[in-house]
Amino acid sequence: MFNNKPQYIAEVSHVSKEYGLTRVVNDISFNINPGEIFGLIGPNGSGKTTTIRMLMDIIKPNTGDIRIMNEKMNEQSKDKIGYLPEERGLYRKLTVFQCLVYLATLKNMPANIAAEKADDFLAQTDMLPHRNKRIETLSKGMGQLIQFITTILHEPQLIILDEPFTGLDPVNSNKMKEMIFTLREQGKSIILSTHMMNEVEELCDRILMINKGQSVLYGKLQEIKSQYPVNSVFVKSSDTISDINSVKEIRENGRYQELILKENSTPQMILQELLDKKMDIKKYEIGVPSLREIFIQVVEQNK
Amino acid sequence: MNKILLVTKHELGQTLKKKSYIIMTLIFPILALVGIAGYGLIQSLTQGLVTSAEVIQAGYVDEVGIFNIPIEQSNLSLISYTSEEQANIALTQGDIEKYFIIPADYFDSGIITLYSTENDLDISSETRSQINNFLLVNMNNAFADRLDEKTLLRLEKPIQTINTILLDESGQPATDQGSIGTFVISIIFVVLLIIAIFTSSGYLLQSMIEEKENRIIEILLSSISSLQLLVGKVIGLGIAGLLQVVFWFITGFGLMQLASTQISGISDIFTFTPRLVILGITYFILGYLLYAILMTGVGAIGSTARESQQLSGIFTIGAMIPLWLLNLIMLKPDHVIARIFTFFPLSAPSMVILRLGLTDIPTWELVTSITIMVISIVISFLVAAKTLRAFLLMYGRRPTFKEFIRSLRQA
Repeated sequence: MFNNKPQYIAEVSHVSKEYGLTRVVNDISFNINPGEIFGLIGPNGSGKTTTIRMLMDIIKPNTGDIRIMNEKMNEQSKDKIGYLPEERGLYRKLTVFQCLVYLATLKNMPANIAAEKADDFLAQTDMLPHRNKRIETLSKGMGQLIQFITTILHEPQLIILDEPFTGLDPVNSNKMKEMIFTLREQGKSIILSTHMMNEVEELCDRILMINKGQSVLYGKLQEIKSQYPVNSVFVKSSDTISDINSVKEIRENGRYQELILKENSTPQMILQELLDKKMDIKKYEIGVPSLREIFIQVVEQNK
Repeated sequence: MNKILLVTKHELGQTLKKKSYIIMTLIFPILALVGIAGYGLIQSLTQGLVTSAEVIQAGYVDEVGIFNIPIEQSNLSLISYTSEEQANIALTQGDIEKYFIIPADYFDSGIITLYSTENDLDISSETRSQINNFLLVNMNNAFADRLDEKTLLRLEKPIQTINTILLDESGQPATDQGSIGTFVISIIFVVLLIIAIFTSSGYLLQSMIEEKENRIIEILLSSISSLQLLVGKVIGLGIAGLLQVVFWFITGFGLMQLASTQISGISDIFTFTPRLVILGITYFILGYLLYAILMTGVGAIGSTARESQQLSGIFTIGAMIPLWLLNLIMLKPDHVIARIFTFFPLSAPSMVILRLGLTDIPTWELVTSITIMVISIVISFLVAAKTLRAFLLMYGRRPTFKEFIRSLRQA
């Protein structure tokens, strides 16, 4: 039987964007699967926001092709996407409810349904008491939560969140993470653009790392991490560790010592040396490279 | 189309609720009402003094041949003259203060011509009413037994219009026939038109700047195109401006009726002819569209509200040109310079309205002026849409001229 479900929610193929002589995005390709959280990461000025704006059809690419749910990007495609931009803003003079309904109707949602949904979301986020308050009277965190609701109110299939946790306190940050997970469970696809690597590790299934407008890492998070060799071990010992041949550097890390491996050394070789020296080892842990370390390493390599 | 309508409704709703819009709409009729009431008060206070002490000596020349009973009235004494020359001599000798001619075609036109060395605004409503009585009594007397339709019509309204001709001390028509009334009212009308255009286009600019400063613009552009946004805003705020102008026209018409009971002859000086209303509204719409689009396009470049307003302020100069040329236009409304600025799109709305109060602008001039404005609007719209697309998301700095040109090519 023919399956109408799109294979990808978004397909970006060989997209480039130039401003004058500067190429800010250079031949980038990636796909977004249904029901995944996709991390778009990169240092400041790497081309993340430009890529997102092209994906939203706010700016046109010079070359390349963007398809949303099997259709070439067009004005109607915008209704299928929810977008939380990094530069946030709402109509300050409107009430929370008016603002939510107006922005949802701009996404082609009928006003009566938008009104119902707005009340549902406000109730879910404990914001119902603020329904008829003007946006300008809300705190920054509340405003950000309302902005997040405007992004998802019209039930988009693809949700793009550009630095969604910036400025949120831990409580609201957790609330938003829960909502993101719920959206994934509902089968929505989420693009999470951020430079906070811990958030990416916590939330994302796959990532694309951009540096200087070019794609430098693309794939499943665990696969990418496994491609990067172990370069340190954490040891908890009552003895003072020193003079280990396989170790390049020893870092005091509170109750642990972090041993940085020499090139061609392995954690097994270090463990053997420690045992040979009859050291009292209470804990021995292989240090998997964090995404942050991979990020720094990749950016440094591309300098 | 649906999204354009949504933006239109949103902008219109927000603007109609704005305090500044409501105040601006009501302030001019209220000021005019206060002015009329004040004038009426002053006149009634001074009229009592004049009527008790002075009797106006006026002459008349009857070219119809039936107005021969110079009835005595409280403060108007009428003297009949057989020719205009005789009446003019009497005026220059100071025997009379003014005279009027009842022309041969009076029954058809209802127009009488008043000659005076004083300004026409000084004809009090009482004097006008007494001339009216004089005509009525004489017509009743002459046609009591043979009333035809034309006579009945005249009896209903003896004076259709009083044309006034200002004479100098030697009894010759004064060089400057432009009466104070026409002069002032034309300017008031132009100023109101300029205010309406700039208020509406100012709201559009303000709304665009606010959305850029509030950073909501990126959310809007992720839902609709910059072109849809611009069209929706232009229509919404244009309707708000048009409602303001229509309100001013309606209240202006009512106030003119009210004023005519206080200030004799004011309705003769400046009437709301269909031509004036149609051209007034046409030029408001064209002027608004042109200024709104230009101001928004340029406003999008500014990095702050103040900068955008400064940049867009350049265009206001165009609308002010006719006011700078006021002396020339009042003396020679068909002068070549006045015509040039009738065709220049930025000055056309105010120049046309100013000239309309003083002269009959040939139809070809109006057609040419409107055509040039429409072409300018289309070109401005295309450029503004590109500017919005290129610069609405540029925060914190203004593009250089090079960047501006390059972006227009790329957008």
